[in-house]
Amino acid sequence: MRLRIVEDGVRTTVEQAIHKSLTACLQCSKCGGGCAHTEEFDLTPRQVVESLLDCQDDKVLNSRTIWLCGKNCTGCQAVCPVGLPLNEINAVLREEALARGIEPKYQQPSLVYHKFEHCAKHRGEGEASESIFRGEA
Amino acid sequence: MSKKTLVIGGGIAGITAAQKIAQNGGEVILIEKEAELGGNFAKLAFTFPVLGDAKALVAKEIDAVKSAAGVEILTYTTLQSCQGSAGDFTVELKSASGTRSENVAAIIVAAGFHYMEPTAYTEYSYGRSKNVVTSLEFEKMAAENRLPQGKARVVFVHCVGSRDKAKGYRYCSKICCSYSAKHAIMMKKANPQSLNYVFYIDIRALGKGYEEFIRSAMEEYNVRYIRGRVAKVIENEGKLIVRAEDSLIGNPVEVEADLVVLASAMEPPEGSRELAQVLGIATDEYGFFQETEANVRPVNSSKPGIFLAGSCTQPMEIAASVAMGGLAASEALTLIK
Ligand SMILES: Cc1cc2nc3c(=O)[nH]c(=O)nc-3n(C[C@H](O)[C@H](O)[C@H](O)COP(=O)(O)OP(=O)(O)OC[C@H]3O[C@@H](n4cnc5c(N)ncnc54)[C@H](O)[C@@H]3O)c2cc1C
Ligand code: SF4
Ligand code: SF4
Ligand code: SF4
Repeated sequence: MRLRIVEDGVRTTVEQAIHKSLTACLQCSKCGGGCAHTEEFDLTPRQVVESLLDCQDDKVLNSRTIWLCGKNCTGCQAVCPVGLPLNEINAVLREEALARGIEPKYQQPSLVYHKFEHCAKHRGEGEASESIFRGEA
Repeated sequence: MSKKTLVIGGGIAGITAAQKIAQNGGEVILIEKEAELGGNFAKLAFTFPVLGDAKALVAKEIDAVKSAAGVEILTYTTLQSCQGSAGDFTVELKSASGTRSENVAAIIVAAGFHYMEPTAYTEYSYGRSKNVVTSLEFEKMAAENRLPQGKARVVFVHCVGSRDKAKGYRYCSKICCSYSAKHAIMMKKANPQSLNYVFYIDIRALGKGYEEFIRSAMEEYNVRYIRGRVAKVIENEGKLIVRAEDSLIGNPVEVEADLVVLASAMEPPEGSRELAQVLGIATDEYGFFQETEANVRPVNSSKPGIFLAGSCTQPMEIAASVAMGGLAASEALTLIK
């Protein structure tokens, strides 16, 4: 499918929220290489950034990735050469998706994001799984 | 008034500058802080883009400068102070035997580069695993015949410390794409059973024959190039697991390796800002020596009479260092006429 590139979209909201321009991205893909959740993603973190840059809003807001990205995870931000906060970007996108009535997409209701959001009991577990990245780093 | 030129740094840029001044009848004092001439060139095993014997090439140039009439070489020597102006500088040189004062007409700074220790890159297990080395260590391993034997997998990692605002430098080190290809080729030649991988962001290999050289790594030496910056290297029971994203297919990938080679950044020489202060010349935001104008005055420092040559101005290859050495020599010669 050929995508039509446009200039207006949710990108602006994201950039305002993180106080950074997405143009800082070096297109290196280091973020996706080490992410503990990347195997469940449908878009790699780098593809989220790329799609945002060309304002492919529907594609990003309907992706599974934005729901699976760990809420407090800083795994990729810590190694990103320009420190782009993917977790914050995806948090903004989740809010935006909800505001547009898009249903959350995660395969099992017990995945990390869900644990964080809905179940205090699992919060510790969720955090432990987030720290795998940092632990190995 | 003196007709001498002081050259600071005995790498290939300083050696070339000294040779050219001597060939044109000038006198040179060449100071080197270490025991030997040759600088980083002398630490290499081979050169790109044609695999030349680095040790033999640099030895020939060292011999030539040592036997040149009018060149005095002082090792273990540094510059203490510098007064005066173009055509008439008074410099104080410090060596093991004490200090001595000299009058020189011109000064050429050829202090070279320092190779970054990538200790900040804990995600690559550098410093923790003995099988994660820098490219400069790889040159040494190659020269000493210590490259992995048998069906070994070797992974070369681009842009470690370069193009990294967060933990290294914003700039590109210019030649690591080329020397990583050289290393993969060297590896395959030394051990035809080896399997070689290069992880890159984009390939920057600009120069005569460079593109062909990189292509030959892929096509003739079967080096697999994967587009994606390595995210982490984990050591597991003596093996290394290299993780990245193959960005051309948008999928995480993993390679088990026996050796990981990090192409670290070329950074300003140690003490470059102090040396600049002694000389009264400018450095750039990183500490490389700053030229007055990059296009047509690449060897002119911010002070008349003081010239710059080689990788103390920016990361560069041998050929560019030689070219700058020659140009700096001709600028210095204008002051001793
Ligand atoms: C891993 C690796 C592989 C490489 N492979 C290639 C290749 O295949 N082909 C290629 O063209 N290039 C290659 N290079 C680059 C090459 O090493 C440089 O281009 C070259 O060494 C630059 O020469 P230079 O004289 O500018 O600096 P240097 O070689 O760094 O020499 C500088 C000299 O100045 C001395 N010095 C520093 N400060 C002072 C001071 N204050 N007082 C007195 N002396 C001082 C130093 O001790 C040193 O001897 C490679 C580099 C690396 C790191
Ligand atoms: S690691 Fe950072 S710079 Fe690299 S692709 Fe990901 S967001 Fe962009
Ligand atoms: S923030 Fe964490 S979960 Fe989200 S993309 Fe980065 S590493 Fe993966
Ligand atoms: S020359 Fe290549 S490996 Fe080195 S910093 Fe530039 S792009 Fe990265």
